[in-house]
Amino acid sequence: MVSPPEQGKKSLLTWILVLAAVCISGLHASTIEIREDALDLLPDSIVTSDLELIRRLGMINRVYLSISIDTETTEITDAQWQQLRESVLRVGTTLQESPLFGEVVYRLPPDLETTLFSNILPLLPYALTNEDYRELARAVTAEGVRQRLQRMFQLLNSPAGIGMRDRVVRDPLGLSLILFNRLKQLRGEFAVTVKDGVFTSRDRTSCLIWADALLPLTDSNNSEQVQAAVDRALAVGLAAGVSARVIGTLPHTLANIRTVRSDLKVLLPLATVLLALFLVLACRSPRGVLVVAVPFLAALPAIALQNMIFGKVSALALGFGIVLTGLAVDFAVHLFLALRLEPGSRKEIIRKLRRPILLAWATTTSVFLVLLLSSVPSHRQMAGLAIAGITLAVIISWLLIPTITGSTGRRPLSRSHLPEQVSRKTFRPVLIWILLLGAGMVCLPRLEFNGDMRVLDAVNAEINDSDTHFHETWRGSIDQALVLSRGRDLDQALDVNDRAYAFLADNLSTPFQSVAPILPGPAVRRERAGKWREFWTRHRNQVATHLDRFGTELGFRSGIFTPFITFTRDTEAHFNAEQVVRGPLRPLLASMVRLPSGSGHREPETLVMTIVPENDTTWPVLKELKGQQTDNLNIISFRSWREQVETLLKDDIQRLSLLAALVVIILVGFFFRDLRKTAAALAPVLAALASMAIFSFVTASSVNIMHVLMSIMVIGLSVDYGIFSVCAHELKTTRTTRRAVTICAVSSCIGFGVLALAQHPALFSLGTTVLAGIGAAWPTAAWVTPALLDSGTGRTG
Amino acid sequence: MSKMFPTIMLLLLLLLAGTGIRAENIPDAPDASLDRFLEDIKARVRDTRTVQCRFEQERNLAIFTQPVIFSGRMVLSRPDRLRWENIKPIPSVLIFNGDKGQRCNDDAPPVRFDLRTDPVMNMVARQIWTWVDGDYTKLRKDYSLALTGGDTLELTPKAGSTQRLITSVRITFDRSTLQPQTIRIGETGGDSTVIRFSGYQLNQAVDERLFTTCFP
Repeated sequence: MVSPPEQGKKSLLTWILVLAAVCISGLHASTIEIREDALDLLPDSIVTSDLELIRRLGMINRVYLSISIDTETTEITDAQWQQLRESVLRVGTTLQESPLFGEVVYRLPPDLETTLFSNILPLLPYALTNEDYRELARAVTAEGVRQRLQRMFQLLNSPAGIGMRDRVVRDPLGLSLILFNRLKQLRGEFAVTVKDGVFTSRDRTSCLIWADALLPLTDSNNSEQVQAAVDRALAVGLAAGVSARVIGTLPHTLANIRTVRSDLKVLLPLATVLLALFLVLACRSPRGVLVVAVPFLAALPAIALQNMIFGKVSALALGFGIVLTGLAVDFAVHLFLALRLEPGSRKEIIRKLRRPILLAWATTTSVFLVLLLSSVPSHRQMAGLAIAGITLAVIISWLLIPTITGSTGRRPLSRSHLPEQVSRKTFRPVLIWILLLGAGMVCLPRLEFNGDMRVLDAVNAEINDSDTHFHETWRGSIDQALVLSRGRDLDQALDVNDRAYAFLADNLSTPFQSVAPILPGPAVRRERAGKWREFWTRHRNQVATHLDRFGTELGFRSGIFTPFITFTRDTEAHFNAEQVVRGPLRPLLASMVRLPSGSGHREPETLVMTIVPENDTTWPVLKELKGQQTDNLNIISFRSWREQVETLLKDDIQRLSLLAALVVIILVGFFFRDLRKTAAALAPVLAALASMAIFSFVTASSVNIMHVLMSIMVIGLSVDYGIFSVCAHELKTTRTTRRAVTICAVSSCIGFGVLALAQHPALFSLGTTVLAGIGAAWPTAAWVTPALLDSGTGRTG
Repeated sequence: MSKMFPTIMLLLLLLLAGTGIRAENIPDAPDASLDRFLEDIKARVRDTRTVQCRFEQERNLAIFTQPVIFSGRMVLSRPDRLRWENIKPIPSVLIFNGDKGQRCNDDAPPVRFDLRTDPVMNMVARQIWTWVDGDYTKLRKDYSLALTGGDTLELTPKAGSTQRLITSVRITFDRSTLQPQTIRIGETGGDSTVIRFSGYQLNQAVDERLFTTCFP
């Protein structure tokens, strides 16, 4: 036997060693890269394809500002319009000056109206379609030339004619109108019109600005910085009577992080106080608080381990992983109570507990081993952290808990230590349990898995209002599909885009947005240049004659239209698509053509986007397009993308749940090698699952990803309760075990249950799931498991 | 459509709508009294509901063998209706009526437009009403203004796209009635346009069909 002073020294040394290890690992843990990337929450196959493209298009980090005049009427005065426009220009300029933004689109170049003609006329030979040539054939007849020239003459002599001299000379037949009309239809993904050089809504009460943030907006710190820059721009720019709505990832990220912070600010202290009070009272010692704290010492070494293996972790996985480490608290509580209340020496007690703790650890970690097979990166990271955390927590608890239990040694049996008198009324809890399982079996098949991540989005009324306003004001169609043509360079991407455009034009009856009509790829350009040459070879001389004749009649000098005739001959002019995209038309093309930025992506790739309203008619056509052209073409349908995410998550969850259930059953079965004991150990798990199913069915008829993740934790806890109860029954320490299970269950319910008061939907789901699950698992482990075991031995009478 | 269209139209409307300015209101010292002059016009514009007049436009362009003369009439009804009608030598009409509008030539069906969806015509129309409302501070953004000889407003474009097309605008008022008599617009390249106005009718009833039909 070890003397008390020696025991004290040994305990102190153990604490010093453990704390030193924790501190060293803490240093290493502090260097881990914590990611707040929403992509970590989605299945791998989604991330590597569509979402990455959406991100590269800049859509995830894009901040939209809808600037509106505050008016009750549908009409605004010109003074109000000027106020609105000036506000847009000031806000846009301020954002542009901010180092946090790359591209800021808020106005057309100031002199675009005077330079537009010169800029787009060279595109004409490459933009004319067969249909245009049919119209052109009519235009080059004698009567066609006369009519068109007269119209240009009238235009020149109208109030609109100032400054049009050169335009009439270079385009006397008004052919550039074909391009102007196509340009007018090119509004990117939004239902915008251009007025006084800014982008405005149909009713002119709102203007649109969009700015690409250089920092990822799925990160809360970045979002705060970007929001501050936006706030500064709005404070500087908005005139009185003009307001702004911010739309995009930014308000959602901020709303979520702020709601979580606000929840935790209240709930964390509340849970801490309640938990501390409960543990002190339940353990009848302030050391009870220490029992809970000891397993959490494993958190830092677990993070350090994660850092050594992966080097990074998502914030969500980090938070949940640490919470899951708390599963090991159960082991510490059992150890503590057994050492304090059970008769026998410390060695004897620890030896008795070794078996149930080992099995409980094995089943819990096996559940997380299965989760390592998940296709969702954050789930895998979470599982890794939980396995490391729980394992280390068990080891640390094993080392430290015996040092805080106070006096040890063989104690006489007191009444409370005697095996519990078996109740003859065991039938009632079993009956209730059976009824619970029955109800759960009724509810479970009726539950839908809702993989839509938006159910966990903490949107407030302001965000909802802004989103609704945005869709009503700026979107022609709420659901839009994106056809993304990819290429090593712009020309290659435009070639792919042309093929997609041709297919869609042939098969869709709905209008859609594409740059192809004004910016075709090299293959189409070559073909059209040939047509242009062929057409003008046949008609040039007759047109020159008609222009000279009718022009002279109207008062034009002879030969004045020579520049136009020369233009019809000049088809060898160098056409540089990239120059067009980077030129004055950039604000119109920016959202639809993404040139490589030269950084970030391994292989620079150009993206050209076509936007198609998504509905039941267009989707089959898009699917057919995808089927025909698989190379360098992606079709992103936000609606089907959501469905795909839901399906993948659902499949993942189903596969993993079945596997986890199988592993737990096999482990428990192998451990007890007794069907009754196995069933009794699993009884709390079944009760928890049934209870969670009933709760989800009654409250929402669906389960989300948070329910599922927390269910895994609840299963881990419940199976531990069952194992400890069965082992306690074997060792005849039921009363102490019941007390330990009760302490663990109530602690979990306090710790997690307060989250049922949270405003954030994810935290709320978390809290309610734990309450429902543990609320059923605890009484089952305490009364049903012993009853099931007793029923086999005839002890129930 | 040229960006100059709204500018010129607005200048015209400003001058035509700003009637009733008495001779004694024209300041003798232009630099000192320009603001007051513009304020007076602003006040007069507000009192003028309708304006009807004849015009004659002479375009002197290098691409023409001789000056081209168009004549017609203009009708304005505040707050948002305008008709610019060429009668000779080739009839044509441009109408703005609220959010709607149309352009007509004698040999072609009317081309209707909606200001909510036609950005160019929208810009033209909205700028017209900005000017009609008499907010001349906007003029000062694009032009240097001066009052010369007591009856002539000189506008010189500042740097920017306007300067690429216009060298100067000179508006001469009738000394007795202060109605604008002529507007001379100097264009780059030596071209010029002179518009002469006559036969004013102010605040008279206007046939509504003038704003709905090209050729009633």
